[in-house]
Amino acid sequence: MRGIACVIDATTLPDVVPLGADEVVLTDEVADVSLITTHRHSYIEIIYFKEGHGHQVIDDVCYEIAPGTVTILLPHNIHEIIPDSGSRIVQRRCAFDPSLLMKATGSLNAYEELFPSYSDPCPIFRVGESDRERVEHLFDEVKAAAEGQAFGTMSASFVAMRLLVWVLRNQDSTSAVMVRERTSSLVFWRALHYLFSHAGEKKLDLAWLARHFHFDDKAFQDFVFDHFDMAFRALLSEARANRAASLLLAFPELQITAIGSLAGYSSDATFFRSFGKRFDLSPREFRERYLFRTTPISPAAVPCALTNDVLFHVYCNYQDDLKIAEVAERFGVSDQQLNRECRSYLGISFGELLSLVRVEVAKGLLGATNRPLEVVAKQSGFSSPKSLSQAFRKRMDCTPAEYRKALKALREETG
Amino acid sequence: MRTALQSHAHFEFLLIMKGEGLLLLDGREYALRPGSLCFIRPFDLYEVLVESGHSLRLYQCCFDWTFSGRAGALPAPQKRAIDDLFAIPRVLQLKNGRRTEAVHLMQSMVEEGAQVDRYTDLMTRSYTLSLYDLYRQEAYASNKGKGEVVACAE
Repeated sequence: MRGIACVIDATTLPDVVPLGADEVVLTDEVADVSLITTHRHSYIEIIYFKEGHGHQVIDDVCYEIAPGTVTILLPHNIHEIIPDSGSRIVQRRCAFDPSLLMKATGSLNAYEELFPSYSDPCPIFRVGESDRERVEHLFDEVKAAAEGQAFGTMSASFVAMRLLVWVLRNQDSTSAVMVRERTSSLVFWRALHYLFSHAGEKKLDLAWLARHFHFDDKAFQDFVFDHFDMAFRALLSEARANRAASLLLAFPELQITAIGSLAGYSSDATFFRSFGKRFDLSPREFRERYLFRTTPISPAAVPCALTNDVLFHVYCNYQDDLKIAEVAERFGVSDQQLNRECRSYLGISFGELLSLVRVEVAKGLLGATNRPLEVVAKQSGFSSPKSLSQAFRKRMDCTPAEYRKALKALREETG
Repeated sequence: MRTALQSHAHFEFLLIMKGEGLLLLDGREYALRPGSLCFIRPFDLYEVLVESGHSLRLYQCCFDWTFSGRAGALPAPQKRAIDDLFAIPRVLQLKNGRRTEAVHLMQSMVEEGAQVDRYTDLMTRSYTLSLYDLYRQEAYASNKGKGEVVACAE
């Protein structure tokens, strides 16, 4: 069982398949964590160790695990957990795809902005007694929000952001005890972090990394092969496919081909081939399958940016003589398309939307001022008092004058 | 005493902390008392009335309908924001637990604003969205959840 709002077996988190667009996976109070062998994944994972002792290896550095230890694992950190023999480790964890960061901030580069360098944040630290309550509370909040997801809201992912920010702000607290230092070269890990956070850069290749990080490309290739069991080219291709996957989920309004380019692919053909190889799905199929996987919203109910922009435009310009043709042209669509968008996302036509906004404005003016109907009509964007009355009657079941009178009577009554 | 008649282009939540008053909105009057949570839509004209000599303490939270300042960033809530724009009850009376939660969210937002760093924006959005969710859940949880309407023009 997997998805928002459920507690899952700690060992079944997916590797190849990223988490869905709105998906926050919580594994709550998993007791008796046994050895979790070396692995990596494309999602961000926050683990809080509640009880027990052991060791955790992250990117070739071994740290001590003790109650109060918090770990943040970035995509493709290579890690394992080794409990001390006889020790019972109890942990809580929270995982989500980087696409969530993109959606929450609206930025394509959210991940690299939040994690600009390899050592930032420190992957593991320990919190004091007083802060432990706070961490537990944050996990509880994510859980509660996830349980409220029956409403189809997105708050679990946003509450998970609060947990993440708390971790980022507290990463400077007492670091966990390092048990064994890194035996491999730090610069290689830095280069890997760069690779996974900047996969969208077209210039990125082995030669560029070697120049930028001043290392021998042959040695780096060996390093990649040792730790990832694949050639550098394959790893780069995987990093780009992952970035494309996150973009597909975070920006549903972006064209597929635009995403290929933003993920660093030089051509559509390379994009489709490499993506298909990693996920066994075309980018389009992937988006269909994983976008709103956990929140059952029919595709028709997903609004596009168009309608929001139209709505905003109407709200800002209701006083003008807005013509559907002009608005459609402004947003680069046909009249029919605009009407269809309005109908499918708002349930009303463009004309009805316009009338609805104007009636709302007129209602306000009628209540707030003594301006004659001609002026109210003009100020709320109606061409004449007659068209105001017609639209008003249709929505409010009374005339503007009746509405004003009733409102006035009410005010007098209540002082 | 009454506030100036207002209208603006953003959404707004008002959470009453202390005192009593009236909200004049949409031809109705709603009683305001501690725990009242009001939802103001863009371009609503509204007034808050407080008896002279009395005071009303409240939290105010303003946001635009993209929540994130970017159209399309949050498809689902936007859709619902639009749905709700014309249907949602306008004033809720929050009960103990929910009230504490709403106060906590408002207070957290205020605290965020006091110490700005690169995460503040993300945190503020997060709190706003949680408040909006809380409002929606309460609004739909029961039809009786509506604020007390003391008078109605319609």
